[in-house]
Amino acid sequence: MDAIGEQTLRWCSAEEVSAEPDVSALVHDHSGLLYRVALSVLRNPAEAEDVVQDVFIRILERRQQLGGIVELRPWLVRIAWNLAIDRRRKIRPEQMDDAFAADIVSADLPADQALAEAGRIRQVFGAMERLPRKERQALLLSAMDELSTSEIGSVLGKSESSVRSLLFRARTHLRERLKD
Amino acid sequence: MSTENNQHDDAVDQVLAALRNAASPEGMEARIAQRLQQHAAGMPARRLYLPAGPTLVGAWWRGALTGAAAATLVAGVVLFGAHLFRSRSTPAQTTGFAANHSSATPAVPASAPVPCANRTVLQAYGTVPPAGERHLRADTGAETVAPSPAAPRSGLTQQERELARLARTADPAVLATLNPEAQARQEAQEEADFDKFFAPPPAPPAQPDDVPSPNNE
Repeated sequence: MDAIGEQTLRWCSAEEVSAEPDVSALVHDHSGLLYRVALSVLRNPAEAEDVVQDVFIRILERRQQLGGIVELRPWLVRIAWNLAIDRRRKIRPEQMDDAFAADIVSADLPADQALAEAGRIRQVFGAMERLPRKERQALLLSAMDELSTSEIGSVLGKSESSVRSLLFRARTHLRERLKD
Repeated sequence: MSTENNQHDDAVDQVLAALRNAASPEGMEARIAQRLQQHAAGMPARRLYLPAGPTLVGAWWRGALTGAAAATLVAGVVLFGAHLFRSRSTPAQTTGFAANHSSATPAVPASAPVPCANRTVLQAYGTVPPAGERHLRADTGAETVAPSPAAPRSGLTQQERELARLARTADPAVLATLNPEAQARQEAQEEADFDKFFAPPPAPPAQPDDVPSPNNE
């Protein structure tokens, strides 16, 4: 996976800059979303939490600039995504897939069915890894309820129609790869 | 076929739903707040050397600081080079000057020592250059014509070091061996003591011959 570029976020002029926002309020409002974004990249809860902490430390260091950011949530998601990609280079998420797939599988299933279900989920993870970069990013970000299509486009630097096209192609490619 | 596709779609939806519904670990916000407090405690309140933000003023200050640093570096290099050049060229200049000047003042013997850079002494020896050349002499000539300082004392030889160690540590009897008279006296004393100890015992007193023996008859 690659980091998300800096081409789309708009900065306000100096006159528009307001007072510094409260970082603790940002933690309360956005930590859950950022955790899920990082988890979708890393598939490891502990690593995802570390990424969220790093995001807010970056924000604390640049809190003077926060007032000038118009689209705060896409900006935060982009930071979390890029930090997760950085961290992903040091670990191997594939090694975490067994545990993560076991967490996803319903605990009510019998053991043999749970094993088969976990295997199918691992296949999905593998197929996602082989998707083109933008399609994978769009697919994973579309899993976040808090992000609208326009916000996903904002994060990816694409229009809404491009995001929808990416999502359709991602689904099609996934289906083809899971069939093989 | 469609059933298989539906199964795959279900699996994809299941994964996406799991990511969507993933709850953050318990206490994550508290841990983040704690780490932010720790980080804020160790962070300076405001950077003083550079203004925050990608502003034109910030770029101007960075450029000015970089230029000043570069100018200082260049000036230092130039001064150092000039110093090196002057230190290399000085002996040749002064040697030539001294040769010229000694031919003009033959009264000064070649072997006469010139003690120091004191101007009066130099004048006494006739080595003060004319007024037009004094600026050359002022800072370079005196050093070149001054006598070499005395050579530093060399260290003690091995024998001297042994003697010094002996003087510090040995007893008087051993030290006396360094003095021939004392050594001779000591040897004589030892010989007398030897003779006194091993001398033969004195002879017993002789018995008188006029005492008659009782068995003589």
